[in-house]
Parts: sequence; C-alpha cells; structure tokens
Amino acid sequence: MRRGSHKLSRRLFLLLLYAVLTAGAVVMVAPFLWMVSTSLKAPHETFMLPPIWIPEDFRFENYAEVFDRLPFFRFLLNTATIAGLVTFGVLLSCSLTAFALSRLRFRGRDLVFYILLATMIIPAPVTLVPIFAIMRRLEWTNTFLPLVVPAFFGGAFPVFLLRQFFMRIPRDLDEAAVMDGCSAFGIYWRVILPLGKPALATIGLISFMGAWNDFFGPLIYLYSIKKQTLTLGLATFQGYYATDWHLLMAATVIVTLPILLAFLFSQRFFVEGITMTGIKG
Amino acid sequence: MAACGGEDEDRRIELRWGLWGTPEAVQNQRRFARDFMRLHPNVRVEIEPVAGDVTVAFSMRLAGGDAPDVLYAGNWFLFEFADKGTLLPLDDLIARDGIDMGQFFDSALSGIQWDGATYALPEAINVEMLFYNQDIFDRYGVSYPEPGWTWDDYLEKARRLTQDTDGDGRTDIWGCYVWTWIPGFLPFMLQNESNMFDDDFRRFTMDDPRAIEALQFIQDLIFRYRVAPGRQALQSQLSIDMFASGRIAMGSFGYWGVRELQGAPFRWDVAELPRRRTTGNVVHVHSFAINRETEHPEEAWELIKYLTLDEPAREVVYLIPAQKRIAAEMIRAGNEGMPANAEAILATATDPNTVSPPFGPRFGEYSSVLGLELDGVWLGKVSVEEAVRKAKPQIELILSE
Repeated sequence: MRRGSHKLSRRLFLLLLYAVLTAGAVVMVAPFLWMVSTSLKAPHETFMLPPIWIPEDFRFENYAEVFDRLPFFRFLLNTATIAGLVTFGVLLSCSLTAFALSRLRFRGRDLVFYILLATMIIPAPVTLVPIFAIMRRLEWTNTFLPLVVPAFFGGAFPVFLLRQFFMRIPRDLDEAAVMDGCSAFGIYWRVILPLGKPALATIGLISFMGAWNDFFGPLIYLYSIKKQTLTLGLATFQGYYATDWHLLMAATVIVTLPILLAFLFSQRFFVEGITMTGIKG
Repeated sequence: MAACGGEDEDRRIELRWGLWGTPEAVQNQRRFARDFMRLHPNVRVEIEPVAGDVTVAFSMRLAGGDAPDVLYAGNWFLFEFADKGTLLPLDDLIARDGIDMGQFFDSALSGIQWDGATYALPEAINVEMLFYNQDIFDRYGVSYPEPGWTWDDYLEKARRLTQDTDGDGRTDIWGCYVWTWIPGFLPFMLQNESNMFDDDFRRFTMDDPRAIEALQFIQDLIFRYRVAPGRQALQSQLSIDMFASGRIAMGSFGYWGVRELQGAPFRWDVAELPRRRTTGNVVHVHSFAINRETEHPEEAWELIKYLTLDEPAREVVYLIPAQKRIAAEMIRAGNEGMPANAEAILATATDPNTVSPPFGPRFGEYSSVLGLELDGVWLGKVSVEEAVRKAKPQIELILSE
C-alpha cells in the first residue's frame, strides 16, 4: 500500500516535471517556429488575426527571392570567411596568452594579467572612434582586416576564461612532460591544448557567434556590396518605409541556420567537457 | 573604346555609388550599374549599400574623406550635407547640358534646391495618401471619402468606423490612423495654413493657434474621440501591417502603401487627405547627388543623369517617379496594382500645397528636440500648448547658432 502511493507520487512528480519542461520548450521554440512559418507565408498572411501558424501554401519561393534580391551567397561566403578567421585568431592568440599567464613563471606576470583584465572596464564605444581612425589611416577600411586582425591580438575575456581553466589542469602533467624532454611549446601543444578542449570549444563558439552576428563592425568598415556580410543584408530587409516580413524571416532563417549547426556540433564538446574527469591531482 | 579583353584593366575610372533602400530597389540599382558600365566601358561602378542609419553612415564617411562619389539622397538629409559644403552644386552642369528641370514635379524640385542652388537630380517622390478599407466602410454603411472632403467628414467617418466587434470593451477596428511624426502631423498643419517655421527659417511657428489646433485635432483623435490607435494600441506593430490585417479603416501612409497592400484580402482605395482651410501635404524626395571631393565629377554626372533621365527613371519601385510624364503613365487606374482612384495620387503630387517639409541643415538636432517635447502629447500626458511652448526656445536657439 505504502509502496503504491510512493510510486504514484513519483509518477505525479514526473508528470509535473514533464509538463513544466514541455511548457518551457514550447516557450523557447515558439519564436523559432514563428520565424520559419512566416518565412513560408504570402505577404498578406503575416499579420492575420487570429495568427496563422501553417500558411495556406508553403512559399519556398520566398527563399529564392532572398537570394535573387541580394547577393546572399557572397554575403554567406564573406561572413564565413570573417567568422572563421576571427575564431582561429582568437583561439590561437588567447590560448597562447592564457598558457603564458597560467603555466609559465616570469616577473610581472600577474601584473600583466591584471592590466589585461582592467581593459574589460573600458566600454567599447569609447575606443570606437580612435580605432576607426587608426584603421582609416592604415587604409584598411572596406577590407576584412579591421574585423579580422584584432582577433589575432587576444582579448581580455577569452584569455581570462582560458587562464582560469588552464590553472586547474594539474601541474604534475607539465612536470611529467618536462621529464620526457618536452619544451614549453610542447607542453602547450601536447598537454594543455588537448585537455583544454572544452574551454576552447566554448571560446570558439562564442567568438564564432560574435563574428557571425556582428552588425556594427561590418556596418562601419565594409562599404562595397562585394565585401558585405549577412547581417548587413538582413538589415536591408528591414525597409525604410515598410518591411517585407516574409522575406526578412526567410533571410533570418538562412542567417541562423549555420549558427544552429555550429552549436549542435560544439555541444558535443561541452558535454565531453562536463564528463571529463579522471585526473587525480 | 573597343572591348579588348582584360575587362577590369580597361576600366580605369572607379566610381563609388552609395545607396540604400528596399532589397528590390538595391537589386534594380545593381542592374542599372551594370547597364551603365556597358555604355561606359572605361568606368567601373562599385555599389556600396548602406544598412542602418543612412544619414549617420554618409556623414561619417564624408567627414572621414572616405565617401562614395555618387550618393543616393533624401531631402531629410540632403540639405544638411549641402550646407556643410560636401556636395557638388549642379547648376552649371544642368545649364551646360540644357537639362529641362520642368520635366520634374515642382514638389520634387523643392527637395533638391537649397539657398538658390541645385544639389541633386530627383529620382522619385513620395506623398502621403489616405488609404481606406472599402469592406469596412460597406459593413458599417459609411460613404467613401469624396474629393474636397474636410476634417469634419473625416472625424465623422472615423467615429462611425471605430468598432468593438467582440464586445470585450476594447477597440478592434480603429476609424483612422495618423503617424505622430512630422510627415504625419505636418499635412494637418499645412491644411490649417500653418507651418513649423517662418520663411527664412528663424522663427519656430508651431505656437501659432492654427498649428496648435492641428496638433490638438490629432491628439483628440487618439484621446478624446478614441478613434485612432495611440502608441499603446499600436504596440510594436507597424501601422501599415495593422491596416493590412483589417484593423484600421482609414490610414494615412506614403504612396508606398500601394505596393505594400498588393494581395490584401479586402478591397481598398486611396483618397486625397482631408482639408481644413486649404489642402496640404508633404513630399519626400529621393535623389542622386555628387560628392564634392570626387575625382571624377564628369563620370559621376553622367551616372546621375543616366539614373534620373534614362531607362532607370522608368523603373522606380515603391515611389512616384519624379518625372511628371513617366508618373502619369505609371499611376493610372487600370494599370496593374493601381487603385481605382489613382488620379488622386497625381493630383496630390502636383498640388502647390504639397511641399518639402522644413528639412533644414540642422534638422537632425531640432527634430530630436521636437520629438522629445511632443512625446508627452502623443501619450496624452501633456497639452499641445505646453509642448510647443517648451520646444520653441530650444529650437530657436539651434536655428540662431
């Protein structure tokens, strides 16, 4: 009897749990579904009341129209190039810096780290105009350089995050590697990087998403239509007089999809990171 | 110059063309650039579409000496650039090539000429029209707007068209809609024989009783008669989308509404705006101007002539072509997508009381002051008198600088 009621309350708990989770999932996924649904609608269906979730005809030609109106393939290629280079640059420069700041011993190391951290306090708009002036002087405007090159010079937040992660990797491993005749770079390459994968995946994903979704950088640096990115193309669909919501949403789906895929792939690393155990200090 | 291989090497002159607009317009303009290059084998045209705030982007690039040679301009920022001396005055070139400016609407010229000089060639204009949903009018037995109709007719129709269809105490169909920004309220002021400034742009004249009466009328539509949606009822929805979903019976929108409402699931037509003491409407003018610092003024001039006088002038989308003859051919009842009363659009465009709003060189500054002060009016918290009284000294200070 008692056992039965226990089972029942457990079932009720599960039922409740699933109900809450389902409600949460619906709330999270509804805007996404609305986007996909609107992207397949005819223009006049977009604001019908009551709202239409499933359009009368699926207008896949909306997608064709997006590619027709603006050079979206070119935008896609440009965005992927910039985001790829930025991600590579950040991973390379920040992991090296974080390695130096966490594993190597040299005078003023912590001071350097604190100065680096202090740069996080300066709001981006303050440095905007000087940086733009520098890029202009270098004649880098209307090229990818102002967007890509800074990534190869580190950044406070990723360095901080990687340093904290690297600090927790036991020093015994370094010592063992040194015993086996490993150089400092060898330790970085053979020990720290492989063990730092989860943190690197996080940084990589954040940088990739940041570069992919960046609107302001491309807006001020990229003039020519041949150099422009997806976010700028997307902004064009937000019309001056009125907005073609069905096209805007189709374009948004195109822009969001790669990010979604990137997340699905790197999510595996996140999970790996969480389950990574087995080193005894 | 023969087309002898090495395509891009032959094109010694590069023209940068800054533009913006709907994706459809950008698509067309890319095509115009290609056609122009075919006609001028020594020129390469680089398209530079601007996303976001055009005024900011162009002024930043002009200030940095990094601006395109040809700029697609609107009268709401053209004069600011002209006043700073960043644009090439075109009068000499116009006289040299004998271009007949009379082929454009007078209202278009009001948006490209400043202080006696011409700074651009006009591509297209946009005027405000009254769009009305005939299905809603029929359902409640309200007669359609007629030429020469007045504010009283407008209010009377709006009151009869405002409906709470499901009886929940909330309005489901709004009788009318007025945009509470300059293009929306200025026509009412002009109709009541008032304006924002005196003729030489020194005195702010919105404290004139007639101007106040016009603004008061709009505030009353929202808060006294409750026939027009205020900001809360609109929420974040665009008013044209609200009209397209059948929740507004009469709305003032730009001519672009004609395109926007294609395929709407109800019958609609356009009418001239109602009048008070006289008619009144505002015009937005889209034009092409030349950067004063361009290294290739002749080629830039050829490009803007091509865009405004040649084939592209017939392919204006969304707006009214600036050439009277082309506009008359395109905007005609019976043409595809044109409303029955298309005549009213041309009548509005040629009406002498259809004028460029006072987009002076300091428009950006005084319009933001005005916007802030009028905010309370459109929220129903501040009286019109109080708002304009507060705005006046601030705006006149800006004008006097």
